Amino acid sequence: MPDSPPSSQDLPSIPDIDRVIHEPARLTIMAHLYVLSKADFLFLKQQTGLTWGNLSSHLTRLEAAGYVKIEKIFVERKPHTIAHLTEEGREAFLKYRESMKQVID
Amino acid sequence: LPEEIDLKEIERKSYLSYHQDGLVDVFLGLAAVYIAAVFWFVPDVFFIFTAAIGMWMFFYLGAKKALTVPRLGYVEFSSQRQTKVMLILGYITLLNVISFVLAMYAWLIDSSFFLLIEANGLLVIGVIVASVFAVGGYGTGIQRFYIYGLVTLLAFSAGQIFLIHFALPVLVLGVVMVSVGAILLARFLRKYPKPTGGEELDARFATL
Repeated sequence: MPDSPPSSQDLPSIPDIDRVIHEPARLTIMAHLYVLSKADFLFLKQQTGLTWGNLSSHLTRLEAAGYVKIEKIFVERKPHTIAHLTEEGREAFLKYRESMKQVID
Repeated sequence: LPEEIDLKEIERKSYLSYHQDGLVDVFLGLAAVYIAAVFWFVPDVFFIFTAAIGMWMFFYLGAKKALTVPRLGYVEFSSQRQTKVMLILGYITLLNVISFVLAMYAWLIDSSFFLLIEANGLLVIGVIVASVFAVGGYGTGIQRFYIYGLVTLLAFSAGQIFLIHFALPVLVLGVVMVSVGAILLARFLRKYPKPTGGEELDARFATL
């Protein structure tokens, strides 16, 4: 007999997973911003493979959660709208990774 | 799976994608061709002309801003990555200082050592330049730097064996690098045309 899927009774044993980060597209964005200091929308789009629309909605969600800060900077007088992780976002990402490890282990 | 996210790999891929434009190859290659031309045509005053090599850096950064950033986007890499690049530059500086001290020692104190270096000049320079490429390849993860190191060793060894002019191995290295860089650049420009559609996203956060 194959193992039966976990029942709802098992679910409380799973540590709290951050649902904001758990979504694959947002997780990819968070992972990129975790290893990069700053990146503009175009760089994130090229690296993650998301469409402009998807990138926009997920960044908005991450920004609303306080994980990502979006700001305009000027590099040699040219404006760039860049995103970077907030301290809260950095901690949340680390916590998420730990939580996932616990779930798997 | 989320637990399998390899952060190092993501960082490495991002960094390499930023250097897949071949600009570093084109500019280093052009610098080598320039050095070869200086040593061929005006060897007596080479130090004046090779000092101008510093200008290449400004051209490189300008090309990066004009070609790469509009296509791939703007990014600032982590402090660890910047530290790695600084370590490579530190190694090159250290190598210069050691070479200078050894050359002075050989020239002023130990004439037999000076004759040994002079007799194997191309080989010595080849090993030094190849080591710079090897360290650069290791530090940046750009694999083709190892190939350039190998080309350097082969070209300078051949120059040493056949006693050819110093400029020729440098020219060979330069031509190889420019050719590889030009192919990579053409591929990059095809793969990443100037994107459209980001204006809406920029506008959405325009009030920031």
